[in-house]
Amino acid sequence: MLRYTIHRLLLTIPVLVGISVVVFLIMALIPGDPATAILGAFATPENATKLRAELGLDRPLIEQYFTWAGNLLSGDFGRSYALNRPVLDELLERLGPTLLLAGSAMCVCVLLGLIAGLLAAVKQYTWVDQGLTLFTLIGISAPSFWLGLMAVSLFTVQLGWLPASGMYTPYGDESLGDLLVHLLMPAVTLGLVASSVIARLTRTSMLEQLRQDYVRTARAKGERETAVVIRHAFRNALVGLIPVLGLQAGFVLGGAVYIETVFQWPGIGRMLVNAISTRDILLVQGGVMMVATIYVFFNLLADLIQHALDPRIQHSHG
Amino acid sequence: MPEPLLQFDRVTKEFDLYKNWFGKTSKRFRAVNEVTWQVEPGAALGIVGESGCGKSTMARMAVGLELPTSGEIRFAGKTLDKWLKEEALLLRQSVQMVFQDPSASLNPRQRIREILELQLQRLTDFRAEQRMQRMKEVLEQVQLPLVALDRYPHEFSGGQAQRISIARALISKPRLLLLDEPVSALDVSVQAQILLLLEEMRKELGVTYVFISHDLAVVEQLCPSVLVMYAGSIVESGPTNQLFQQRNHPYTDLLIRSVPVPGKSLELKSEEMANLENSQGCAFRNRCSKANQQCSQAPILKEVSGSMGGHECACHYPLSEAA
Amino acid sequence: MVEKNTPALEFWQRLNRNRLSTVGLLMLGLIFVLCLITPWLPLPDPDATDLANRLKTPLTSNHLLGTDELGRDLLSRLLWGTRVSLVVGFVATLAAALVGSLIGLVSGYFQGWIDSGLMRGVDTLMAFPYMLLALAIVAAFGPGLLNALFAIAIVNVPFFARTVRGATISLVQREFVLAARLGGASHFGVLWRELLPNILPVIVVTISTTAGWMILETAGLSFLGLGAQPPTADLGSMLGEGRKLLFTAPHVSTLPGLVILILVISLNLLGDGVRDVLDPRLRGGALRSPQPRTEVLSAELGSAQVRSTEKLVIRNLTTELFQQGQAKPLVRNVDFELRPGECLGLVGESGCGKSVTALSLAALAASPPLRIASGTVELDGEDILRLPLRLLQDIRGKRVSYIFQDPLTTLNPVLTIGEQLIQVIRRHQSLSSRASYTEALHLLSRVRIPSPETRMKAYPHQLSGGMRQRVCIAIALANRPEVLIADEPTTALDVTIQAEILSLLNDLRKTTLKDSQTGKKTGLSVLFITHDLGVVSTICEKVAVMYAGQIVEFGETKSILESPQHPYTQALLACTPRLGAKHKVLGGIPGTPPPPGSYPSGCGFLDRCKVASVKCQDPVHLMQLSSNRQVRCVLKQGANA
Repeated sequence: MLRYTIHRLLLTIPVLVGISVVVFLIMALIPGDPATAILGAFATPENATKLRAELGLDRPLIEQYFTWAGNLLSGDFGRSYALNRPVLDELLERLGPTLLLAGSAMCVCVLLGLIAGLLAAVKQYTWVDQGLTLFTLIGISAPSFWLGLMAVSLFTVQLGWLPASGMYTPYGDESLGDLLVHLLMPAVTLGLVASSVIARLTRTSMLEQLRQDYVRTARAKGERETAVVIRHAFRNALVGLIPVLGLQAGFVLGGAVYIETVFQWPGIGRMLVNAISTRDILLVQGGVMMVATIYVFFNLLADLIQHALDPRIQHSHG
Repeated sequence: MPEPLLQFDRVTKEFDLYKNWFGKTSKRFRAVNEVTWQVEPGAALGIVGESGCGKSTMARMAVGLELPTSGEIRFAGKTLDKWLKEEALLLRQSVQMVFQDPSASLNPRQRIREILELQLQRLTDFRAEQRMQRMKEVLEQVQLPLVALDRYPHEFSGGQAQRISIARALISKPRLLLLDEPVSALDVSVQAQILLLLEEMRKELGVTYVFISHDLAVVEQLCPSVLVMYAGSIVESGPTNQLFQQRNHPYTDLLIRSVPVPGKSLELKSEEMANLENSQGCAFRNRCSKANQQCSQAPILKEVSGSMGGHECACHYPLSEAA
Repeated sequence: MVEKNTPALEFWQRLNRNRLSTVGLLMLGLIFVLCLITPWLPLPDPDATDLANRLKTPLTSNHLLGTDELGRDLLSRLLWGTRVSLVVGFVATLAAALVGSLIGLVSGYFQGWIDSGLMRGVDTLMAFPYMLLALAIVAAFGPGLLNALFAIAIVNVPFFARTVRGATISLVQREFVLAARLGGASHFGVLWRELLPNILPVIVVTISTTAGWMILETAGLSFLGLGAQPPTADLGSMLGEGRKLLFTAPHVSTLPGLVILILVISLNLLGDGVRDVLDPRLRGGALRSPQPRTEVLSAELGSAQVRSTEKLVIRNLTTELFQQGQAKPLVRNVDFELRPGECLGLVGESGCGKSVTALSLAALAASPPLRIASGTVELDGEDILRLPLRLLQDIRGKRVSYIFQDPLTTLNPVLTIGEQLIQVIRRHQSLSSRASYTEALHLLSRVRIPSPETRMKAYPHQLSGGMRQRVCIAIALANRPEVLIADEPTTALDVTIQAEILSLLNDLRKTTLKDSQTGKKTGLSVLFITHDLGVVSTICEKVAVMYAGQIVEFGETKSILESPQHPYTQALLACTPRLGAKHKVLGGIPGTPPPPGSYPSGCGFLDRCKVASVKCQDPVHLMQLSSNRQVRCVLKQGANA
């Protein structure tokens, strides 16, 4: 297992390099003069010349990439002119809230998704299944930002139970309770939408497993139905679902952009939207790089869990 | 003696099992191990062995779907490489194959007419009416009605689908037909129909057969001569009657004794399972009761003493000598 | 040959059978029509501002759905906005499908360096959370509808590429593709004529399941202000504008969201229907999964017979396939009994109902679609088919146990051999975990598996086929069953391994017989299902021959093999090739067996029988020839009478 972990860790290096190339290329392809674009409202001729020299824009593309990547590795993500502070500082400040939101949404997603899918499969074609199917159908069809707005209009405007925005009450004591109250609506909205996909896949996967020969064997052994469903079918279904859960982390991280915007959550997603509208290119680059890296590690985690659960993979890696 | 139609000359095929990070192979599997054999025009050669013995890999190499790792395969005196480079179309016309699973060997989205006509369009320069003529002819040969042309593969039973596969293979009038377990997926009563059909076609058309099967009794029905394979090597070969009656290799013996025959009880004693992993030498030695030190050196095929010609065996202790 | 429609027609029929997808199709059609005729509808200009009438609530005069912040008519804006969203969503979907499928097809077909090159690129794109990559692209090219479309399409290319590549790879080694290559097809010929028609369903399924998702993503970008720019409005940007008014005029944001929801729901409903029809792997998902026991229809109780000496008595067993309101019998009025210590072979060709019979005995036949229409299975005089589930489960694996055909799929792939053995031991015996471990070891050595301690920790895929089947036998024998039902246990194995397994079964059966001779004489009774008459004669004392769902001949193995009475048995024996036999097999039986479920009411063998007469069209009964011999043929009926 340790050997495999190291192997997989090493394998993330080319992936991260690939990501950095894409991020770099996208920004390099910006039409017009990048320095002016980056500086935006701060584009005086002197500033632009200085920045051009800093980024090496007069040198060939490949050299520019290595300069940029080297800077990234040494923690230099450049400077946000709109915010007038280093990009890294801004990113680190916003990393925590995003991880908190995405992490709690993932928990909601995994828990609800797996349970709902399992229930729907076991109770196939009963009212439980039909109810859950309708629910998940809405979940995958409704825009998450709209659901967020609807939640605000119900729980804040109509009922007045939960705060509509931010992480803490302004000028409050920033207590854990206050945080949880603020986290509840965004995390549940994001998690619910993400769980719908998981629930549907879990249902399909469970139904497929329940038709397999080994389930018949388990029944022929006289196993009780609970054991047949949980110990045999669900365990096998889980093996196939773990990578999907990894992918779902991508959905949650992407969806966080909307949810952070709707709920004014001070995370990277909202920062990105602002940065794009102010054309703060270096901030966008840094933010995208950061979130993509988090996603890579979520997938790594999923891969390691799957590896531990599925004995069949072990032998294909020498 | 006529020139052999198909020849395998010390042919070896290896597959990569694992690759390391740099794409280099860290473990290889030898599916076919330096085999040499040939088949004369008009003959029918059976190749017998159990799953994983390399017989299907040989079939694929014989038609050029796989290339050997080393050694040479010659068709009508010319190597397959050369054929593929210079006259690939002529080779395709002359060498055809029938596969095991009749439902998988027909494209489910094409009608039978399309399946047969595509084959003719690609392999011949027949005009439309010539193609129709040939399609009618070949359907008649495999005893299917003309209405079959307008149907899809899933509308046929296994036996009928296998007749269509045979029709497709024969439509370009090939000289050599590779039959890879063509009846194993069929029920006994249908299997007998197809075997009879194959035998008639051979007599009628003079096609050469290489018939691959795990079923000794089926091979015995159709092929006057036979090769027995084990773990990638030929362990015994010769005229079918002679080989089955006076088997020389312990594996052939085990194989024949294992076949259940109606009206006969099994004479085998159940023993502890042998460890099948092997490194070098005779591949069968871990399952062989006669194995000793010498068997760690690979035996070569040699003429069986007292045979009436063509009976060869690769064993240090052939059964006929022990007796 | 069965009459069938063309695939296209069949597709529509099957799609329409799914009511939900019909609803989706209708809703989508309605939205399409509304969008098409929007320019001709009597609606106000969607961009005409009217500050005097701003933020009207729905159902005000002249404004059915009210107005927005600038007094623009919401209904009109919604319809025009839906047009934009639909066009952008569909163009993006088609673009992604086209590019992605092409990449997938090429890389799956050629493999090698082309594949690794293309897939590296695809994997790198997939390493981003989708939304984020779209944001980055829009950030580079600037906000705008066209850029958003472009971004969404790029982001979805990898998805199509991967799906299509997977489907292609599973096809390229299929025999029909190989046959086309051997038929001289060019690369283009193989891709275009052989692969694409088979992959098209996969592409259609992927399109239909992603189209909704693409529309959501486009709406998302517009919501963030990065897609449609004023004055153009799509549903997303309308929702974005309405967000600021959530507290004062919630309908301005509620309505566009609702329209998106309805649009995407109808797309997804249709997509699910399309997928169920086209994806063979998911076709099962539309069916009900097999229940813990086979449904038993009639409530007939055991006929309260005198307790016989037989271990297992099967009377009048009929199992049918029940689909779309139609019941087709697969097993018809089967009667037989199994004595203690006896091994009975049930022989027949595929589709004759022998496996369904075997599975019905412990109510294990997959239900739905199968169900037991009538009959009883009495174990020591007790009808086990109608026992409550918990009691039936107590019998399964303890008194009646099974061995199945394919030892790879019948063992649970993610549990070790030891876990699976110990499970069945502890399920029926109250042993400590240590004692059950020892017992499992003992069982493995009984089936002669070398070094059982290491095998206990192995997973099924790490063992050879023969070894796996030995494990299955160990599981079946774990609780010293009275009846063992072996359903083609050696069919998937090589002939030398088959011989080993057969001898092992034979030995085990005899030792079990000896074990229990101290008490009551109750040896292990075996029901052995096979298609191979050779296998039967090595292990079974008695044989029942099945054809078209019925037992057509029954008797001692020796007498059946030496003097078969039924024309089918005779023909079957005549066409079984025998190694070393002097005579060659001639012909085989003309025609094919009747397909399962469409058995004739008369003799099932009628069409293929050489000696059939008019009388054979009436139902034929099983005739008792002698005390131990039965046959179902009118000719014998005459002889007896």
